[in-house]
Amino acid sequence: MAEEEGQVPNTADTGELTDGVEAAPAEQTASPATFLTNLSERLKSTDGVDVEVAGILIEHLLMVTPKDNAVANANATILDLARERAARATAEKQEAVDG
Amino acid sequence: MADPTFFQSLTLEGFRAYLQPQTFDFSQKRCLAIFAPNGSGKSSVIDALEFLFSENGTLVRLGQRTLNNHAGPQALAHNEAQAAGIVPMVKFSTITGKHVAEGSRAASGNQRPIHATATAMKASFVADPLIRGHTLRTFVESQMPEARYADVAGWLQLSPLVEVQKNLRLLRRDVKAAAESTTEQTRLNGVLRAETAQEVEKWDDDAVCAFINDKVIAPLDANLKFGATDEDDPAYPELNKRMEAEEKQVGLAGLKQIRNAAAALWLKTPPEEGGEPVITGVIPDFEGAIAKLADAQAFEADEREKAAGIVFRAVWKEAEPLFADDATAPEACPVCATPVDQTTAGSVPAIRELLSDHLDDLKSYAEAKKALDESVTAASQAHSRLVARLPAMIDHLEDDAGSGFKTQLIAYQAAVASWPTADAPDSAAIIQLLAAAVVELDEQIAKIEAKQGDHTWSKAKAKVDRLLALQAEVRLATRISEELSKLNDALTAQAKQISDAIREKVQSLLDTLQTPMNAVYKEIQGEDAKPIRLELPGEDDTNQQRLQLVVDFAENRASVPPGGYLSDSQIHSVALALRLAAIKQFNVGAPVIALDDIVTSYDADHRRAIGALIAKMFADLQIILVTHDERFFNHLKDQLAGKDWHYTRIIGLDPAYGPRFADHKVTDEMIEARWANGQSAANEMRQAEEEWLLGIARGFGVNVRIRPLEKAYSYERAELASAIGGFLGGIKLSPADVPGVNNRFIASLVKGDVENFGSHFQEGPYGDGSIGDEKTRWEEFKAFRDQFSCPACGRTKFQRPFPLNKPVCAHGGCETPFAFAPPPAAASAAAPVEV
Repeated sequence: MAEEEGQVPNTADTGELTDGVEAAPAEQTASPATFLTNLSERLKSTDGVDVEVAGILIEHLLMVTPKDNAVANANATILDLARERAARATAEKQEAVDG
Repeated sequence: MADPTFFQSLTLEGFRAYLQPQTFDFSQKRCLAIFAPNGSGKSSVIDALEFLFSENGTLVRLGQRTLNNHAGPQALAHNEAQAAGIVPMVKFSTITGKHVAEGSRAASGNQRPIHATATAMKASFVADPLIRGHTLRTFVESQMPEARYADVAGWLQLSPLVEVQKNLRLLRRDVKAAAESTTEQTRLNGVLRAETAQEVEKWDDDAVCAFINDKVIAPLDANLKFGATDEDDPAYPELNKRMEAEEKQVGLAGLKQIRNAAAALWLKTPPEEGGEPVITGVIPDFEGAIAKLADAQAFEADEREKAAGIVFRAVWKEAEPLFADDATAPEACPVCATPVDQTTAGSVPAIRELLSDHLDDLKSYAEAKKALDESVTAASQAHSRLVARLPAMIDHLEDDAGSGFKTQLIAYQAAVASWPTADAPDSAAIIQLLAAAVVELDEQIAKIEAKQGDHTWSKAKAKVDRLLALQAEVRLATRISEELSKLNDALTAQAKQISDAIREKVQSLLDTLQTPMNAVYKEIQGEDAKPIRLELPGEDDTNQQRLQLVVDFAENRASVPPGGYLSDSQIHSVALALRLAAIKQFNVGAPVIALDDIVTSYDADHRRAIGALIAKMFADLQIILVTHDERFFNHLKDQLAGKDWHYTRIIGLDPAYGPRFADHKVTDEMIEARWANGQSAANEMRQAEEEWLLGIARGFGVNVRIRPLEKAYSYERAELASAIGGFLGGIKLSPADVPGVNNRFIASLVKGDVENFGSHFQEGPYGDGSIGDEKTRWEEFKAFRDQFSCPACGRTKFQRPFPLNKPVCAHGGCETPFAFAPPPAAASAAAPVEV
């Protein structure tokens, strides 16, 4: 056997995998939780983003262990938001008419 | 850079196949290879590592509870652990630089919390360090790109991100469906059709406005028109005004109500065909009742007068039974004792006739009195109905100057009220007025109905109000739908942003893995292997994220799926290469790999190649490996650095102990221990012989015949024995015959007699012989083996440095040329024989 015989196994090439493979950047190696936290922050601060939609996504989906009914809850919240905005638009239009 | 963390030790105790504590010490040799047949407990070592780091204190294949095919966490514990008083547990220690940390995790009970030391080590596992061969096979067999993406993401511990992508896709689907839903509009259109008598199918401002003008307002006033369906339209306040005015006027309904009130008092209905007109109403009822009452009163008075002359009515009543036809009449008056023949009647029959006349008069009066009572009751009831009806009509009449209908009717009412104290009033004038009123009302009603039908301003206003409310609902529903569309757009954009970021992360991981993965892949499959690319195509609405494996198979077959061009073994290698490269690349804080039977899909060449791969590319990692493939195990022993690797094998699974281990070298004591336990040691003997032959072959530097391709690397005992025999013949050396063996022992090794032990007595060529046979054979082998010792120092290791023809003692201070020592028992008798 190799060690029994005192021979050195063929380990001349042992070592790094391949030249040019750099250490993984921090974002690559960030854990999913950290990645999602950073992604949430970026999403909120994106120009022109609908912050209320972003808030819903962050609250319900952008997490490592979402609730079982996360999608249903997010959907219901978006429907509520649509009704709220529609009512708000109606009220604003009425206010404009009323002067 | 921080020092990496390695395992320093691992102890399994009452865990899975291990009942008694078994410790694997990594302090001297970092890596471990375990060979064992299936079902011997080798995978329990990998299970222990999975368990140590598992989130829920279980194994994936056990699940979190006993359900369906899952055995649940209770299968973590050895089935005899409780009876043996052993607490199922996995203990471990890690070393980071010089810092050693210890930890343990209970494998029983509801609480099996992960140890902080394991948590710290796990934090360095970007890629899952456990690779099980069957998961690689699953990867090969699950060719769906979606499943592959989930698998790879799971390997890279990105499953939560895959979950985010999946949930985003589901949410987008739901929101899009809501935005495109027409359910509310359909409901509102149904209401609209009902309100417009099916004239307007769906909401349209102009159509609804036209309906209001043409169907709601025009019957009342064709000149009043809405310009728009809007409360601010000038027509709306006008509509409201007219409704209020209508409420103050007697409308159609009011006229009908007055007409009904008049008809209830008196109504002459013309005959349908030639008959008499029918007069109805409470006035004629009352007058008819009091006329009947007057008749009844007169009749009763007449009858009463007749009955009043009969002063002796009681006497007649009493006398009737005395003078009944079927009775014996008395001979004298029972009152005055006048004989019958001396009375005015003069005889019994005459008395009987007189009694009959008087009794008939009494009966007529009773009937008249009853008829009178009934007439009184009927008149009273008719009076009550008339009294009740009159106010309704009076209320409907307009006030007058004192001689009009209302005044006359009030006077009539007063006169009626005074009945029966006073006589019933004459109704002729009232009836005349009522008849005229009914005629006039009928004319007005007919005129209105001819003009506007059933329409009223009040109804028109209510209809317009309902349509305006419906309009508000339609507009709100439309706005909600518009807002949902905007939200859907925003969601789509953000979902894309999120998914792109995740895709970018995954792709970046894949990109950095691609080169090392291909390096590993080529190491297994050879330099000519076409490089594999990992590509993530864009996500669309219907498909989830996919991972495409593509290969430029040929110039005219670029970017093609490897499934159609590569063998399963090659794809298996892709999976293995990807996993190994990911661990190497990302788990720098804890460069540990656990490999569980990863070579079962490979042929012998590739198994050796994987051994070489581990030696070449992963020598700086800590590898814990189990395999049931003995040749692979031997390849590893041949190729990996002995200073880093500890090799051991499981030689049996003792239910009352656990796996029994032996180091790679089978000792004489192990064989004798088997016999002492009444067990066959044939396997151990074969292994011992093979190990000894390999050692001698190496030390002597024998020439081995290059094998055919299908058995390129592994040399079995017979081949080694044959090579050694050939070598000894070449240098004119021959071992002495072994006592009790007719042929030379080396020939029995070449023949592989030990494999055929059982064939002496059984049909099966690999059956066990008796322990006695084994002992005899073992003594023969030992006698043969003992001849291979240094004639000077007695050591048993040799070497043959170039250019020596004969081996010499491997001990540095000896180096005596090898020569056979005679077998102890036959040293004097046996002489060397030429081979």
